[in-house]
Amino acid sequence: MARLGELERAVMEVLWSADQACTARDIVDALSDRELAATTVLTVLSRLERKGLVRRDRDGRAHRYRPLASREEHVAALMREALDTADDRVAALARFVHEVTPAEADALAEALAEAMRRRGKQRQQEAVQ
Amino acid sequence: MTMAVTAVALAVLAVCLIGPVSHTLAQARWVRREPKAALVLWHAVGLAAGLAALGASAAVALAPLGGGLLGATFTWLSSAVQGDVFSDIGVGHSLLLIATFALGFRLVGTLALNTWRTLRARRRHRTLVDLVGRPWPKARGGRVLDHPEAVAYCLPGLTPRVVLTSGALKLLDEEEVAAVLAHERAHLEGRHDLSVLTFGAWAAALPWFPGVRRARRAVQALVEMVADDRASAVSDRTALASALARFGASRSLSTAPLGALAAADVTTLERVQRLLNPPPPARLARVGAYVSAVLLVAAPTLALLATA
Repeated sequence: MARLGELERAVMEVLWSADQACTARDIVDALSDRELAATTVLTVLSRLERKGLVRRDRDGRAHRYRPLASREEHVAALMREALDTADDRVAALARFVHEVTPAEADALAEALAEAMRRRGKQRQQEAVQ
Repeated sequence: MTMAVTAVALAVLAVCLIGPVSHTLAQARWVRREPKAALVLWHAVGLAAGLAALGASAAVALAPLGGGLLGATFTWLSSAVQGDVFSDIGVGHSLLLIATFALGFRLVGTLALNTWRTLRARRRHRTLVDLVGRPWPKARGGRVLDHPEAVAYCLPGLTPRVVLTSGALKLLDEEEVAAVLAHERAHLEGRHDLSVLTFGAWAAALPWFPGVRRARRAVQALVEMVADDRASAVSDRTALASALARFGASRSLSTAPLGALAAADVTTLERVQRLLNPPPPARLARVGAYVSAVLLVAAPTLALLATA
């Protein structure tokens, strides 16, 4: 499974960096150093299609694949989910810090100065020892 | 004890737990000193309240059958399987019995539904993170997303992920990154998501009770404190404080949705101050919390089993 996941990444990289829709053959050639079989690439492509990540179009006798969203669009969607504060999202992932008010941010800046002062002192003491 | 006494006692217990007890516990100051014990106590309060409420209404509904709660349940079940569901206890008691079942199904059903939704959302999110994130060898299951905004979070589960943005790595120094990782790992190893999920589901199932909402908010705040404490044990406490403060100060620059603030009882600032000036442990409160937790779960269970 880990290998399949890694292959999916590699295939998506090819599709994202290509100027146009790719055939399975194009992908095999682009990843030639891995010496993949065409059937392996087709398996990965159908997995990606099932996950809603690529789209398949018929072009003559071959199928051409292209990504449904760019990498940046996926990252933006992930960020939206990570910052979403709806209750059912809160359970899905655990965020390090939640939203703060502007007043709290000012107080946090002061607390940060205090923390950094102490860490500086800690380091000095460690250096002396 | 007779069924009537049991029913009254359990009803009183349920009302106390959902009302004054949850109110008092949500306001208590000692929980900052002993967040782990407080977390255990909240679980006991939730479990005991559910047992007591369901037990009280079942005891009243089945009282006409006699023979204690277990005996009455058995009598009712044996006539129910013969198709005679309600005749032995009459209309009023039957309605109460239906209400009891409805409440039980609602609690279990909401939990099941929320769990399923959460797992699905997590799986989808993890698929995408694995696809567009860079593997990050510093942490098991670590991924870096290329995004200027500083964000750190973890995806709990059997194959967990710790996700940081490139913005977060730029914001933090090395010790701070280690502290953030330790905090997220504490969430993953403690399976804090299961507590948050359960209390979230019950708050969704019972939106009419402020006590249940209070419990959910308190649990969300407590798991953060527990993770802060565990992270402080294995990494630098002041580095965790400065990481929190940096994140907090940077986050306010982005336009945060209003209303998000109400979600956290303990603010980021309070967490930072708690790390910089750690409150002394409260041993008495801790022992008291654990003993109360055991008693709270034992009392309604025994009352239900021992009713004649």
